Amino acid sequence: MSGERFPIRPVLLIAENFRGLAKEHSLDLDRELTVLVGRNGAGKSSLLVAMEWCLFGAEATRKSDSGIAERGDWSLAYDGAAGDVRVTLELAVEGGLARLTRCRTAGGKARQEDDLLLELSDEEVLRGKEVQDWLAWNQLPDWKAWKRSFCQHQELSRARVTEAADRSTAIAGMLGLDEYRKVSDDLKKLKVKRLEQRATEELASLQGDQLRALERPGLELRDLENQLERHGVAVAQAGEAELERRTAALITSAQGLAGRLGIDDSGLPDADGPAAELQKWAQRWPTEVRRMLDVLSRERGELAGRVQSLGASFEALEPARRAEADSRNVRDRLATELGSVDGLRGQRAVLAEKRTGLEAERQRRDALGSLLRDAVAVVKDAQAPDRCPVCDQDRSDLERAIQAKLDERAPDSLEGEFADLDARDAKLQEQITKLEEAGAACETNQRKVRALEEQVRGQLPVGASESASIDELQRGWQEDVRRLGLQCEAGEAHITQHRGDAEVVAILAKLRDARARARVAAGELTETPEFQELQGVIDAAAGFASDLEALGSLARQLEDERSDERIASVNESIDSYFSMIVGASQRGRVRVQPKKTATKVSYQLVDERARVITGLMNQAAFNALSLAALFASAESRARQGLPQFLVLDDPGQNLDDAHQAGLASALATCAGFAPVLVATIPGALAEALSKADAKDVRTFSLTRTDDGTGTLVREA
Amino acid sequence: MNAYEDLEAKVRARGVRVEERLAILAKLQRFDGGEQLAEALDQHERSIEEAAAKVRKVIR
Repeated sequence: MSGERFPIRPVLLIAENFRGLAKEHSLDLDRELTVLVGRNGAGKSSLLVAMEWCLFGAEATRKSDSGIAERGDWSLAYDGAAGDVRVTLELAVEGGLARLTRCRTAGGKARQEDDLLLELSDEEVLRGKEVQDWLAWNQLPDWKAWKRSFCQHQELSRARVTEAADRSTAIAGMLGLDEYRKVSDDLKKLKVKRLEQRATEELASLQGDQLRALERPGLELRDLENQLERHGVAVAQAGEAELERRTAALITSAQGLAGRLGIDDSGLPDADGPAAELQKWAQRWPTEVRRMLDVLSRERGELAGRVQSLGASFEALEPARRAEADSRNVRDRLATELGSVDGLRGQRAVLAEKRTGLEAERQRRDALGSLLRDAVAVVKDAQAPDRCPVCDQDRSDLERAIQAKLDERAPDSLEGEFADLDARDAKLQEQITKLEEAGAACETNQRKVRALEEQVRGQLPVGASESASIDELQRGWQEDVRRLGLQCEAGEAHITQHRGDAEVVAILAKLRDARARARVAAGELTETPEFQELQGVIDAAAGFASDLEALGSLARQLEDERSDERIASVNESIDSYFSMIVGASQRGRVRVQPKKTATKVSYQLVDERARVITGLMNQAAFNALSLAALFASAESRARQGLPQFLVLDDPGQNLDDAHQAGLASALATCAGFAPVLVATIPGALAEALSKADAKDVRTFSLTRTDDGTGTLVREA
Repeated sequence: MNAYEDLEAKVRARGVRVEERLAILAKLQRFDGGEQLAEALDQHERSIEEAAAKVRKVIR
């Protein structure tokens, strides 16, 4: 922002299909003063606006952005043009030329982003945002600055002297005070009063809290003291020492239990550690102990089950062994008495053979008896009833003899032998059954004993032999069960005790804090480190606010001082241009008057009696003043080495011939500082400009083509 | 001499809390002023609120 800069200026304008300009038209601008003369509709304004569109795009052509109502209906493209709309502005820059080109493709919409290209002399090409950054870096104006200090539009010809903000900014620019205004504005926007307000609110809020807190401590303290008394702690006893003692005891007790139960005690807090940490541990500790007790309890239950199971198995073993021995004795005794089962079965086989023999005898006797009965029947049926038809013996003798034989050989005579055999066989079978049952009972008891022995062996610890004393083993286990039971009981008792003790410790800690708060509430708040910190923060904020205010004040003061230093030359400049336009008799009428308030500096244009000059002027003077301010601004910027050129569209409106002649002189003078492009209709101004005392002037004549579809640009 | 250099010279001439003001000026120059200072202002406001919250905790 500092240092000498090359004064960038336009040297060539090329417009194609832009508004009233069909096809391509170029305009050489490499003169101090370039004059376009043409009748209405010849295309003068189109050429001037083409330059604006090239520099600012839609901002210059949309109603909302441009601030010019009539531009809302604008169509950029020449009516009937088939090609792209393209405008190139060639700028003379340090070391060469830069070609700025803006292009809107045929049929492109107003809201569509234009193609923006900047070709630099070192063949570097920038596009889009890069181009805008380059323009800003080289201090080419933005649209607002352009409207204020670079151009004169018919629509906005007087805003720079009538609009307060525009006027003050324009005059500040003339005075070279833009930066001071920006610094001042930045500081003003910060609203440092907000810090003071916030600090005041917070302090008031804290005061309210303190007042409310003053009412609380008594009740809170009494409540805590009552709680302690319910735990058997006297109020007089409840102090820091008691809290420390109980805290230490709480931890010592926990350490003792941890040692007993085998819990890792590395997580136990320090008695001197932070109170919050201790509180968390005290709440968590019963849960940790409970978890361990659950493990021990399960272990105890399992061990007790094993003792019981082993006892039951062992108790069942002896009766089974006794029963097995008894059954074995019975089996052996029967074997001694009765012999073996096989022997008895042999005896039964002998009896069976005998029975078979008897069965054969009985069958033989049955056959003989049948024969004899047949014989008797034959005898009885004989023709000679008294004689045997075979042997002719006396029939009665024969019958008796046959009956005797039948009686002698009757089967019933064998029944006794059969009965004897069956009785003997049944006895043998009974003996066999006894022997078999005794054997089976013995085997069953043996299996039972083996199963119980197996069961006992399975319950013994690995490596222990059955020969070891089961009683001794059981006694060991029972001792473990008892030990685990004691540990569980101790743990349960510890949990109960811990909860009570921890509650007392927590109440003692609360009581300590409550007593501290009571002391704070009673008036020691400002002595606390927290309040001291707040005070420090507020002091720092106040210092910051004070710095900002001081800087803002300095910026305004500097603007004021510099304004005083430079205002004379600006007054001279405006007055000079104004009097050039309206006549020497008006010399000394216009001056800038700073208006200073606590927060800003604004500028007004007044007359020699310090009256607001715009309220006293006719239309011509109004236009003249606006143009004079524009020329003075351009001269000032040029003197500061800033890029500056002027573009004026028919500036002679409302001016009579004399004033237009004066305007021509003013333009020629201003062109000596910054290039000027002016468009006007043929007439007094054009004529005056052709005679003006400008060193470097070129005039172009603009006319419509014969077919009325284009513009002819010719150097006059 | 631009506005910042001018202000800097003025601050030095005043000689009161020069370093702090120069730091603010440096921010103004480097960051185009507004946003950085607004952030610093917000930070001071937050610091006041945080410090007040600590005091409130003591009271309660």
